[in-house]
Amino acid sequence: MSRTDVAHVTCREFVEILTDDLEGVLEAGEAAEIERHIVICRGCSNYLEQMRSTIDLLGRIAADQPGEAPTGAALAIFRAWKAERSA
Amino acid sequence: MQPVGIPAGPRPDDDDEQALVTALQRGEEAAFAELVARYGASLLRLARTFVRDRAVAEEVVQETWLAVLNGIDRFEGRSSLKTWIFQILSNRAKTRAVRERRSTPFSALAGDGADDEAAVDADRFRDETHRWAGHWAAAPGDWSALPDERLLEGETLAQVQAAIETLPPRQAEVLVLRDVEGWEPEEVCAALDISDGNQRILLHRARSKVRAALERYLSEGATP
Amino acid sequence: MIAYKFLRDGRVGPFSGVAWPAEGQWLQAVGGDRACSARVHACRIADLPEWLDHELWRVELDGDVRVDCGKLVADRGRLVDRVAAWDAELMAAFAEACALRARDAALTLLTPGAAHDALADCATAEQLATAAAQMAADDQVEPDGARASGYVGDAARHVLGARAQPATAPTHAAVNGFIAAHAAAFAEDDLDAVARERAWQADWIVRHAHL
Repeated sequence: MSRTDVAHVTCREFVEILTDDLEGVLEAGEAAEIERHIVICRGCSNYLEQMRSTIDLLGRIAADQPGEAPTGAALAIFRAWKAERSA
Repeated sequence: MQPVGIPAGPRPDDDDEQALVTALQRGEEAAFAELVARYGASLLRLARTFVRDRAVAEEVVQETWLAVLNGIDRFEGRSSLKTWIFQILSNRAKTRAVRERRSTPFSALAGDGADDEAAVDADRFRDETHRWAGHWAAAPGDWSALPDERLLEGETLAQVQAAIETLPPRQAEVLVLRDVEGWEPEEVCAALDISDGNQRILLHRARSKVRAALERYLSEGATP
Repeated sequence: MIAYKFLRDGRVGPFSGVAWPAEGQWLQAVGGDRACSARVHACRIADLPEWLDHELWRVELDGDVRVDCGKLVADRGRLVDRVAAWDAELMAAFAEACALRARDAALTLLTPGAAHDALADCATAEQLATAAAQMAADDQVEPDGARASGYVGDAARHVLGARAQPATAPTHAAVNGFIAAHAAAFAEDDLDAVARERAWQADWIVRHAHL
């Protein structure tokens, strides 16, 4: 017979449930358990910050490649389409 | 920081989109230029998650614009204009990817990678025999301890982009729309015709992989 | 109502990352990237051991104040004053007190003998670390006792970590509270031991931080 092993969020579970937590779909109780785990686990605290940094970097990709004026090809498509409509 | 998704309701840009549609239907070039300015770069980024070659991706985008123009008279506004445009692109890009052999017609059926893939390799955690089974054996490091410039330098961003290119297409699609383009969860579900739960699983797997790739890159040459 | 609040260095919320304003100024809860960021969270005395962090403050809560999942939640709060006694040194002392509690739990699982006595004689984290290491190398120790002394060794290492790097003291203190509660439940084979152990920890904080 094995002794009482207090059920708790493990780090393995944490990394799988983190997306749900950031998306705000966890029940209040589950979210509180996640927070309790972060308090006692530097590894998972670091993992959370790594995930936030990752998401932040993904968000910077678009800034790296801003919108442009239509290319010649795109404008040609438009003008050909418009000409055909008027015909 | 990603905003928490809000429930679907009246779309904030409805009037704006309706004005654009009307102007396009009237053949106004300025309206087309506006669409291209707004969505062109995003469309190209999304196309490139399916077809690697930039020239091919640009062709897919041109085909998308043509299809948008040809369909604009029939556009009823049941979905948002943005969603509709990206659906067209998504379909064209997938068809083109099959032709370019980037994927097979069965890639979509095969799913988005192994069904039991874990966010982090199992060997990073203590095994079942350990008194702290499931806890970190090799814990992630503190990136705030890295030199400031490291995270923000161009090469790091390039590594992130490279990681996106290795993702299964369905995961890449969701990640790009959500985290690169900043779409709300509801918009992604509408555009890709998937459930919220499905969208979240794909996002989870994609983000986990990109984080792992970033971790590998940032720990190269690091002192142990 | 008056309650307690743990914050990171610089009055920063541990999960929201929001910096609290100066004492007396109300903080209205705002959204963040997690759903529960929309409320202000605080501790009753009983909640303290589970939320340890760098800074401990007395706070005043306002609006709809409720208990939710082991903490107080409110619409807004303001810092009243800082509990000066709660510093890295006290956190390390808490960590050590918890390590000794884990030791007490382990003793109940060891038959009288050299291993038992060596552990019983320990008064400091260094001594606990040594005794636990010796026990880990001793295959005569019964399995449950061995596991429990594993917890003691873990807790001892966290005390040493807190003292070596004071900036990391909060996590070491917090995890030792968790380990002690875990060890008590294991030794007594009783989930209720967790609440009893946490109550002991809360009382320790009240006495030593002069709350």
